[in-house]
Amino acid sequence: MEDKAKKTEDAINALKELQEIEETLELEKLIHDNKIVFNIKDEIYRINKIEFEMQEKLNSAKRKKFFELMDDDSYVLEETLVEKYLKKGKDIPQMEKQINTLNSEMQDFLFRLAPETEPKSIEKLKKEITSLRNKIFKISMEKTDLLEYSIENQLLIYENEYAIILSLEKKNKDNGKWEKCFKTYNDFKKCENNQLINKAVYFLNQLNYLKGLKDNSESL
Amino acid sequence: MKDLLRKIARSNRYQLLYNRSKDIGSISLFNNKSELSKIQIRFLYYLELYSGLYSNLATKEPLISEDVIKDDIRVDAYFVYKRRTKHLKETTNKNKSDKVVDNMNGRKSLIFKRKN
Repeated sequence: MEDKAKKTEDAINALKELQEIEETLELEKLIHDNKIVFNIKDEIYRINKIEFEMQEKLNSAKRKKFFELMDDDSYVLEETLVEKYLKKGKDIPQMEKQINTLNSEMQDFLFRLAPETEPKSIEKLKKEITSLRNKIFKISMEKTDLLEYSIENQLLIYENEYAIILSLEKKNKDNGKWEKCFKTYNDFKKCENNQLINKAVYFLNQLNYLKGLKDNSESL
Repeated sequence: MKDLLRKIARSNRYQLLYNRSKDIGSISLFNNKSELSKIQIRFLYYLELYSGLYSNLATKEPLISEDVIKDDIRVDAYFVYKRRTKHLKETTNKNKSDKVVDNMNGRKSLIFKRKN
């Protein structure tokens, strides 16, 4: 019985290791260049880092969108949305304070962990730190969700979409040349290939420091 | 993702490649020479961070070991500890230097007291 359990555990561990090797290879591909080539079915796509000229176009499009959103009464600025939530009993500034408190609590645990040598204490402190990190992440996600319909957030979504239009290319099978995947914003909006859009957003995030992209890999 | 990037950055292969690329110009880490992507910049940051940690390990600095280097949370803890103790030292030194001295050599002046 024990032998069987051990074999299952070994198989799970081997699978995990294989998956990690695969993910490592994928990540190494992303690191290797400032352009990422990927396949979806039998089509080849390429996403490029936003360079100076593209950035200029992106800024100009963003500016136009900002004034368009400001003129639309169905959108409000983040500040107004925060006030509206407060009236409904949802305190976003309090959530921010909570994040700061949890963060300084986490820093204290980290400070205590560094000189610790006792394995049991190390594990205990690490658990506390992980739990605090998860709490911070959960509150941040909730805050982001609450502010989804603010003008600022809509602008960020638009920035991502526009960045994809500027930087995503598709390989022409006949002549082997790279061509723009979407010529206009309407082409992009009509696209129903969710797999392509999701991959493009993910790779765009790895290539660029665009404000609109959620950064899940915060530095130390 | 972040964990995996750190794991690759601290691997012997990339540490060796990184250190060699600093000395030998023809060895490059990336295909592109300029316009580094966000992930490349972050990767370089981790390469430098772990290169520093391995140097600290070689010079037998306190609180650092192979086990710590392999553990992301303990590496974060190491930097928080270093940052805080450094800040504490600087504040203590500043407080010392801010104390008013009543003469140029910094020694206590003689106090003459009247005998009752």
